[in-house]
Amino acid sequence: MTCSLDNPYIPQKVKILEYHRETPDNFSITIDFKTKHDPGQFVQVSLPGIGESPISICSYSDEYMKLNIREVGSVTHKISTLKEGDEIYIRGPYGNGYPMIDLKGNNILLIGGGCGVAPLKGIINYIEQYRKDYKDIDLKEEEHQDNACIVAKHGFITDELHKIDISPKNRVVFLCGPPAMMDKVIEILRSKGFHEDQIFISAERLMQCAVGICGHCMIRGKYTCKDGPVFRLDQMEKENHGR
Amino acid sequence: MLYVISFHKYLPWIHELTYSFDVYGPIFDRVTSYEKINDTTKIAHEKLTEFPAKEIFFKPGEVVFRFIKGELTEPEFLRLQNRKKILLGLRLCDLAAVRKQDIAFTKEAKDPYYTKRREDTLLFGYQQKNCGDAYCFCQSIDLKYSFDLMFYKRHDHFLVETGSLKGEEIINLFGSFFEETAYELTAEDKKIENQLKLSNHNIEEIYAEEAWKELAEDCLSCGQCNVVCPTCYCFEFNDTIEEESCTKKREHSQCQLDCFTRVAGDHVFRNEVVDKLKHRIYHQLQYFKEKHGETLCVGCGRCIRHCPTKIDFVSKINDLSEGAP
Repeated sequence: MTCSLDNPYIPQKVKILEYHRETPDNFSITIDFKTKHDPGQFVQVSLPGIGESPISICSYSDEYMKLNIREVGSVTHKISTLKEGDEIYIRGPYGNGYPMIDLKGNNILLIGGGCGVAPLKGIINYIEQYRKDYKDIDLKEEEHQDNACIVAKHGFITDELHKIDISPKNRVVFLCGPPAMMDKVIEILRSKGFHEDQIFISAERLMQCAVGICGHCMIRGKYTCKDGPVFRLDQMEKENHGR
Repeated sequence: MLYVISFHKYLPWIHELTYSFDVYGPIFDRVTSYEKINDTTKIAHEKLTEFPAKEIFFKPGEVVFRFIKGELTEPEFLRLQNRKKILLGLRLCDLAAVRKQDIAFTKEAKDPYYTKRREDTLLFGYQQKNCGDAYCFCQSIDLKYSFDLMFYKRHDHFLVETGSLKGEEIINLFGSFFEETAYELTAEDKKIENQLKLSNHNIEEIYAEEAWKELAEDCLSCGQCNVVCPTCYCFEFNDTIEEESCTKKREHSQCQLDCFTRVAGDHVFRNEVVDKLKHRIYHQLQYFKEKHGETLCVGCGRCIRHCPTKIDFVSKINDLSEGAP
C-alpha cells in the first residue's frame, strides 16, 4: 500500500471472519481487526467506489471486532452481500464511548431501541468481564422484528418503562435508539426522578471524516464523532438534541 | 522596515515573481476570485473578491486516494517537494481567514492535504482606504492575522510593511523594485471603516429567540453563503468508479442543504430552515470561539453581499441583543 500511516482518512483492509444474518434487513459480521476499543465507540466501514458508513461496535475484545449492521444505504446493502473471507475497509475506532471506569459502583439501566441494541451489546460484553465493578444491571429493549443478536421483547419500550418500578438512586441509564424513541424515553425517565447527569445517550449523525472537522455531525458546536457519540445528557444541547 | 514600490513597478515585479513561485491572487475573469496568476493585467485589487481564497489550500475535488488493482494509493503530491507559493492581495479579512483555516485543518484535525498545500506559502496582504462596502463588518471582529508582506495603497505607490524574515528576504531578492522609506505607519494608515457593525459577540443568550424565524422566512437554504464564505470549511467525501479504478474525492459541503445532515434511511437531522441558518451563524460566531478563543467569522460580509435575499444576520443580532433581557 502506498499510503502514509498518519493520514487519518486512509482505511485499512480487513477480512470478514464470520457473517451472520440476523433479520431480513439486519446482519452481523465479525472482522479480523485487532484493535483496542471502548464500549460505545464506532468505526468507519467502507467499500472503495461505494462509500463509507459509521457503524457502532457491538463487541468488546482485543482479538476481533463485531459489527451489527442494518441495511439502509448503499454501503450497508453492499456489505450485506459479502461473505466470510471477503475484505472490507475499516478506520477507527473513533469517539468517546461510555465512561465505564468513572461509573464503577453504579446500577446500570440499559435501554436500546431497534438497531440501538448494537452498541449496548459491547457494554454487556464489557460488564461480563468486569462484573464485580457494577451493581444491578437491567436491560430494556424495543424490537419489532426477531433479532437473534439478543433476545428482546416485542413492542414499544415506553409501555414497558411506564410499568416498571425503577429507582434513580445510584443508577445511570445508557440509552441508544431512534431519535423519537430517545425523546420519549428521556421524558419518562425524568418523570421517574432521573436527572440529566444520570442519562447517557449515544447520538447518531451523518459522519464523513470521523476525526472532528468535516462538520456534518456537529450538534451545537460539539462533534458527535469526536466529543461523542456518547453524551451525558446535561452536557448536550437541551432542546431536540441540538438540531 | 518600510519600503515603497511604485505602481508602474508593481505588476512587472509580480511577473518576475511568477518565475520563481506559483503566485496566486485576485483575478478578474467575469468574476473575481483567487487564481494562479499567469497574466498580471488581470489582477484586480480594487474590490473584495467575490470568491474567497480558501480553494487554494482546501481544494474542491481533492483526491483523497485512488483504489487501483486492490491497492489504496495516496495522491503523489503529498510526497513531492512543493513549488513555493505566494498568495497576494489578501485583505485583512482574507488574511485572518487563512489563519482560521489553519486552525481547522492543522489544529482541530491534522489534515495532510491542506497541510501539504499550505506549506511553503508566503502571504501578502493588501489594504486600501475604501476597503469595504455596505456589508463588511471586519472592524467589529477582533481580527488576528499574520503576513509576510503588507501592501498599503497610496495615490501612486504602495507602502510595503514586512511581517516576517521571509518577507524581508523577498524584498532583498527583488531589491531593484523597492526603495526604503523613513515613513512610519500610523493608526490612520491601518484604519478601515465599516458601515455595518456587529454590536454583540455573546450570542448564546439569544439562541432561543423566536425572532430568528423572521430572518429564516427570507432564507432559501441555497447554500450560497457557504460557497462564498472564506472560512466555511465543512466537507464531504464522494466515491466514484472509473473503468478499472475507484477514487475518493473531497468536496466542499454546504450546511444549508438538507443533504448535509441526511443519513441513510432518509432521515434529515436538521431540516428546518431556521435551524440550518442558525447553525451557520452560531458556528461562525460562537462554536468555533468556544474551542479556539476566536470567531470563525472574519466579517468580510460576503455571505450577506451574495445572499439572493440579502439576509443581514448582523443587524438581526444587533436588534435581538437590544431587546434581550
